[in-house]
Amino acid sequence: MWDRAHPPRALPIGDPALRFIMRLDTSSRFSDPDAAYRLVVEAHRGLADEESRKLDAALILILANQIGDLTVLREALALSRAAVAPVKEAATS
Amino acid sequence: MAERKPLFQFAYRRSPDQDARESAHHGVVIVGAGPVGLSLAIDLAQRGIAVVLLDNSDRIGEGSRGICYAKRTLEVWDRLGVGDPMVEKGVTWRRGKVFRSSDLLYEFDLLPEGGHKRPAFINLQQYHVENLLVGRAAALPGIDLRWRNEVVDIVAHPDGADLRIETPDGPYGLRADWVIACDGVNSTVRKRLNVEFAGEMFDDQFLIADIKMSAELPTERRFWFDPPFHEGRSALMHRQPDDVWRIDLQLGPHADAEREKRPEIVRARLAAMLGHDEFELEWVSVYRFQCRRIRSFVQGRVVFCGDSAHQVSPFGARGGNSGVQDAENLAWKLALVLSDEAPASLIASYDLERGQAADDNIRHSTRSTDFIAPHSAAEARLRDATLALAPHADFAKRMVNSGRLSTASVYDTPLSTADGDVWGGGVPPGAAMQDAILSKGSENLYLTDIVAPRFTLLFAQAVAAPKLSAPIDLVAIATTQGPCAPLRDAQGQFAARYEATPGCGYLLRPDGYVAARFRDATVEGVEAAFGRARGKG
Ligand SMILES: Cc1cc2nc3c(=O)[nH]c(=O)nc-3n(C[C@H](O)[C@H](O)[C@H](O)COP(=O)(O)OP(=O)(O)OC[C@H]3O[C@@H](n4cnc5c(N)ncnc54)[C@H](O)[C@@H]3O)c2cc1C
Repeated sequence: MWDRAHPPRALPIGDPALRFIMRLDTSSRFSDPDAAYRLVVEAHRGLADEESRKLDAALILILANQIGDLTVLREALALSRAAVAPVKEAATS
Repeated sequence: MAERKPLFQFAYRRSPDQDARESAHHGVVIVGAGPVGLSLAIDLAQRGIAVVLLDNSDRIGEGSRGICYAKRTLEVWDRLGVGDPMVEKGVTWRRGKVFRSSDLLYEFDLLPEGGHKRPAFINLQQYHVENLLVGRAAALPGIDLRWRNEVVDIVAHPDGADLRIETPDGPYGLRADWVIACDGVNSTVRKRLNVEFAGEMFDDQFLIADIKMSAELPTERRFWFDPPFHEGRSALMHRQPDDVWRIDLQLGPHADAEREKRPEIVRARLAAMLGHDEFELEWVSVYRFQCRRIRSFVQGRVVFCGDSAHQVSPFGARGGNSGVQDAENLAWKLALVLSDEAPASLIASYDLERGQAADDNIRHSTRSTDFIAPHSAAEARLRDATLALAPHADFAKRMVNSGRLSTASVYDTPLSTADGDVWGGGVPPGAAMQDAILSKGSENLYLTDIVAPRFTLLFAQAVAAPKLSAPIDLVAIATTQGPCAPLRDAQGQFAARYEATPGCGYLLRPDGYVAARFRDATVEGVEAAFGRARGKG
């Protein structure tokens, strides 16, 4: 089943059984989620698109370090990939 | 599409003031008989304050604007005697669905619990709202409503203002101790006084269409991101009474508004959405939305209410709703000041409290509008990622923002007395009262019907109620744990919603906001809070 050392590259997301084995918390954790979203939006205001991409990259590294847990990071990466590039994922695995 | 005929027509009548040699003098003149000016006039008249209400038009119904009216607004209209006809004429709803492409992302329920007299929302064309308010205003003594009286100039003084008014019979002047500007987004009063109206204009344009068709769809709000019938943009659909439906389509920043309003273009867009073209166009318009406010809603003896003071984009239905709530906030304060029961400084708390509400509304509607129409490629990526994650992750679902619907604002205000006791829940000072079902004999009554628009102590019955000498209504309620009172909390809703235990008391302001609460309500505590809530603290 789930091998912590070698997790599958893509999670079959949406499978409710995964809730029990995933370490990644996808529940809503902000008391005001709109405010959190807005903070990120505002950080991008006034930036050229290339700068925005750099900001995103920096932010990912900062937050990954804050999490400080490879398993969680792996699951987060798998979820993002599955959400935004599900077709590609299927083709390569 | 033929020009629409006005639905409701009123008559200009000459006022004796127009024959006066010097400007006639009135206590309160309200400029603008939209939903806000009318609600304010009715509230003041019910409090015994005579008003002159001026409007530059003499008809309503050429087009609709607002359609969604929130629970809190309906509770205000209940107190103004028009809640029932509004709800009877309107369609009631509380559920919404949000789609991405053709997939349902999530559903929401704005009022999942029972025990509330009024629903989360009704939809009702603004012309019906205004017409019902006009009918109520006409039935009350003390409202002198003058159609086709256009305010063209105002000069403010420390103790009032002079107005210049154009009518079909020519101009005349009026002098007022207080002028309340309810003359809408293009307020003449605001412009003539050079008050800055600053904020943000959004780039995107939106097509708003009201159509008539018979459809077997549930009464719910439907919102689409990137639907198959309108790719890359958003769509919104609402039911109104009389088989009228509101459809709102995002057109992007570069659309040619004149072209987009052409009936054949509109019909083609709507047919793609509906899958048929069996509908009539009632009204079509193209908007660019704005969020703006003036800095201070009180400028000496001139007070701004509703759209003249603040403007929001319609996502969240916060414009008309907040304007009516401005009016109810101002009415009781102005009535107390005019009858010398409160210092004139009480009016400053209107600016403070409704300024907070306006900021809240602008914040929410700006966030929604920016989510629906992102400003940049970076924001669009963030938005699209949120939508892509939403089916898989609850946190992302919560960030999907198609409009956060109007609820009563909470005030951080010096009129409140801070909690001195420990409360885990209940309704905090500065928040609006919650409804509940209570029993009297075999009858069920709603708390919002029991409480009159005056200062009221809600008292959870203990051995003895405090003997108040101040003019405060006492509503004693027997909880299941306490001694008897005619009014009983049989279903435990009062106890649950107010965290009420025997002996505790909530002091409500005349607008139904909580001024103070006490675990053990004493005469001294309640009366000190009463003084504070009238601006004497
Ligand atoms: C597309 C759209 C959808 C909307 N949807 C909603 C919704 O669902 N829910 C909601 O709550 N709000 C909604 N709104 C907002 C709502 O329509 C306004 O907030 C509301 O009309 C404000 O009321 P008001 O009385 O302040 O101003 P208005 O309704 O503009 O009334 C102002 C009145 O003053 C009169 N007047 C103007 N100038 C003068 C003058 N110089 N002298 C005398 N009289 C004058 C006018 O004739 C008018 O009768 C929507 C708005 C739009 C555009």
